[in-house]
Amino acid sequence: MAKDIELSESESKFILEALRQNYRLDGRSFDQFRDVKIKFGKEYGDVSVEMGNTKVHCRISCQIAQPYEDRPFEGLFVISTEISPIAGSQFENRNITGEDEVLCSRIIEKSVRRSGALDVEGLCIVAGSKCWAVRADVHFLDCDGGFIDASCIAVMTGLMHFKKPDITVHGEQIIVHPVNEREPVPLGILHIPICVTFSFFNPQDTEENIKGATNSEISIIDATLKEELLRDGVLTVTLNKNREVVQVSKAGGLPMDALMLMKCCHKAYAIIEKITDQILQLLKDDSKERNKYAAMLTSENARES
Amino acid sequence: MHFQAEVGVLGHVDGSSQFVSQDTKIVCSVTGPIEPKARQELPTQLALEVIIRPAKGVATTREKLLEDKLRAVLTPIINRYCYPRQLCQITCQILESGEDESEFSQRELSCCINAAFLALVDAGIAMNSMCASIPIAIMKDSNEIIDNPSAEQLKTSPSVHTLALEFVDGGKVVKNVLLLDSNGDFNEDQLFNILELGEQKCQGLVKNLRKIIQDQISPRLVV
Repeated sequence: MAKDIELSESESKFILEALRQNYRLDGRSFDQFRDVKIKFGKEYGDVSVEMGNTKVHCRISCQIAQPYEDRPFEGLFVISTEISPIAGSQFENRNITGEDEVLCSRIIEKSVRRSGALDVEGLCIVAGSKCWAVRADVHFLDCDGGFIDASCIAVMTGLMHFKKPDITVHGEQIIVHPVNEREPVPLGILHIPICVTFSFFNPQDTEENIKGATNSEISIIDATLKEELLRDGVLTVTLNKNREVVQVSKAGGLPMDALMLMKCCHKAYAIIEKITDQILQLLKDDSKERNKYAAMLTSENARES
Repeated sequence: MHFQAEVGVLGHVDGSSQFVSQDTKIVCSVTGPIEPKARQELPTQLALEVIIRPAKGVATTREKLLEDKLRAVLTPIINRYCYPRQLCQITCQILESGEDESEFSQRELSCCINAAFLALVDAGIAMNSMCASIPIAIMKDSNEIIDNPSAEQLKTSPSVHTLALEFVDGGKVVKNVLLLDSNGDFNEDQLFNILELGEQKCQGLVKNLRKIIQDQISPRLVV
């Protein structure tokens, strides 16, 4: 991902030779995704995701704004993925023109926002004049590859965890109820897209890279920073648990055939299924922890379910 | 001031720290000395690039002002003439602000100062002295001065302050006031009281900061 870090000749040779012999530096198999650790902060919509040494923090916030004139029934949803030098000195502050930064934000945008993962119509308050503007701020804290995958998980988990304050509408007037007055309401999530990134390496010389007849490329899932620096091609697929392909992104690099793409999607499905279940389970545990007194305070009768 | 802090939390920078006090949570990274861009370079001393990033939304003039205050605190305590024509990048990411961002920045600023100090030490940048910072509020009716006020206490208080002091001699002697940033209604007596109480509280804080650094490096020392 980063341009300024350079691997030494011997180190890159070592990594590539190891890949040829079916080894990765961190001891994972080629199709193994790093363990995803998700932690929730104190407030709703405050999520940090760790994958190996990669750390991403996501913060969801909302405020009342005016909808776009041509879309009066829709709320606003913005994802901001600005990389700061905290992730590594190769990233410059406020420089969003870097190729990788642009690619990263475009893929997240495509996977989450344009796939309609968030129900923006549910954010409408008064058509044409007031709506919720939801904002996802992704903070990249530590960079060891897999920024796209980690930030997609962070944004989706954040959106599912977030709750906006409840409102009452009286004609044009609206009352926003503070969180301690009325139980806040969760956002409408229509599906959970998760990204999986494949990196490809060419075990032969560069001529093979151009002709690409033998299809003997090495494909690994969830590359670390060093592997990202050396790869010859990259493919990011986004899937959801309904077996829908949300987006496929392959910007140049090593050529690959359609069967390979199918194979990658199947591999990715197993991974996203596991991650989706993990996220849902964690959200359940978290809401149980937050509402531990609910069972005691409720006046509901015990029922057989 | 009660807090939890950790140093060396990030892998791809020279020094880093995480500072948590009540609901305020900051991650700070320091990279340096590195080669600066031509416009940043200073012929005789270390140039500082200070960046503060908010938890929500994009950085505005509010963050620029915070950056400026943080720079004013850090500049005198770093031994800048050790690194001529070099650059040090100090980046603070606010993860949780712990106060109403539209009105206050006291908690965030003092946590940023403490976090940046720890990260600078972790990065091994030469320092002249130590610093410690606390937020202070004067309560409405009792006129009581409290350090490290909560978000609610900030809201009800008529005046809020941020104090940063410079320490030398192993954190025993106060050398200078690095920052005293006050907002609201207060009088001269109250300000002197703030300095007096602030000195005590900062002294306690600087002791704890030293302890954190000590715990971090003592296992690495070869006796």
